[in-house]
Amino acid sequence: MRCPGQDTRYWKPGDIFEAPCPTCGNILEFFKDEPARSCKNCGHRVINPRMDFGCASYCKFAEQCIGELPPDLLAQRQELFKNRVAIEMKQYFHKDFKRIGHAAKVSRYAEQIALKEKADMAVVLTAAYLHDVGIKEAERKYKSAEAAYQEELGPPIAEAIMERLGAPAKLIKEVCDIIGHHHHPRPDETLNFKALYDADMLVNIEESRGNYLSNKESLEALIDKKFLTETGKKLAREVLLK
Amino acid sequence: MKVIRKIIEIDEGLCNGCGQCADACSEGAIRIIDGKARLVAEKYCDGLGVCIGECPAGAIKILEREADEFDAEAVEDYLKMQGTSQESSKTNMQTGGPSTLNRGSRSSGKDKESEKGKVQTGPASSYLTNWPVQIRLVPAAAPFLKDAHLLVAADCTTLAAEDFHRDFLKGKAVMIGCPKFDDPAPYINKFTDIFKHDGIRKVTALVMEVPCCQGLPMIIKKGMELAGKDIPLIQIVISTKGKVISRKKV
Repeated sequence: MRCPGQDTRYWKPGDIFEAPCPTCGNILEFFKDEPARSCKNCGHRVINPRMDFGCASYCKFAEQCIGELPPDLLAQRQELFKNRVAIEMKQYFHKDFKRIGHAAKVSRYAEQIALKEKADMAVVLTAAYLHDVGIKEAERKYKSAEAAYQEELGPPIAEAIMERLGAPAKLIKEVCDIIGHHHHPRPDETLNFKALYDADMLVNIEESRGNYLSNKESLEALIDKKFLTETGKKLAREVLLK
Repeated sequence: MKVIRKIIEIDEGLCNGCGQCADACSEGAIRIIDGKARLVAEKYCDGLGVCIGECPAGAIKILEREADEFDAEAVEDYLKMQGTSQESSKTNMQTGGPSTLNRGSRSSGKDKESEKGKVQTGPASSYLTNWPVQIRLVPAAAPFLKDAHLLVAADCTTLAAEDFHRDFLKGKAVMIGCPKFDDPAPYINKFTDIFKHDGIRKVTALVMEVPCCQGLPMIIKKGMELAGKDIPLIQIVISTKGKVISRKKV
């Protein structure tokens, strides 16, 4: 198979463009992936002004292809990774829009909490998108969406998704660990876990409002007792008690 | 309820109306209206951006702004509503773009609303449900070929038939080509691949009475042979005046 980044069938309009030679002004045609071209008029070697290694921001073989990645590309890569985790999650849940919506909402709150609490955004968001992926297997295997079953069956699925996207081993390990006990905090939890836990808790309360305490004081007591971060508590009060 | 959340934004200036985003969106939140992609309703968009990767024009972005909350139940109702209209709905070609593929794969009720109020009689209504239609362009594994009654029509028949849509196209997936001018070898390969896929129930070959048209059923038959399949094949011949001259099993 050919690398899609090099395959012109996947190119967009504008990936082949014209630029003037800086010495003589002669118009040269560039392909986005060629580093330089000689000017036919004056022979000057013109550097491609819009060289685009866009594919390197998402390709898991980018390092092998173009060597060590520059910082801006690395940043772009992390951003793209998050988006692709979201898309994978969505494909996994297929037409189960409730769960897709749940994951999207948990990610939204998790992002807000992680930002304020200065948790690791990549870990928190990846865990937020994937935290419930065990549910389908749990329903199939145990005929139950019970938290313990989800925690048992989720990590291998999450691992496969992250590996496919070329995530670093460290991230995979931490995210799987979080997913593997996301309803059961240990005595000494990481900040990353807490951010996901609070976000999930908040969405769960929101989604089952009717079953939860409608009484304002007891809801407040619940928030104080259950939520693990200050930002999580604050956000929960804003969302649930307003 | 309005919340601050991620939601897509479509730049109409950049959008070329190709419809790939609409195909990618499993909620059916995007529709092509007047040649541009538009978000049907905020509550149908989960803001995850599956559509973005599909856009060849870079016209879709994710924004964080005040919007209606994503509503899973509303999405289900919306899709259900479209599903029930699927039977009678015909994809309205005006709303699609040049590169829209495999229309059969998406919920084809999507364009229902734009057809509202249109009186669907005789020649005015289109029974075309798949795209592309050229033999050369149809992928062998195209979803619309699954369990299909396939109509393979010689180009000229579509013009010659009195009412091609009502009399021949209705209820079928269609592929067209010209056995006189087109190269038969790639067509045989294409049909071989298609028949290998176990999808086609039945094939109708629609040809003109002129001798140069007689190659078409042969090409189809050869494709079945090479695929090791024996699918029922009906040949219909029509005159240049558009009348059916013969109808037989091949």
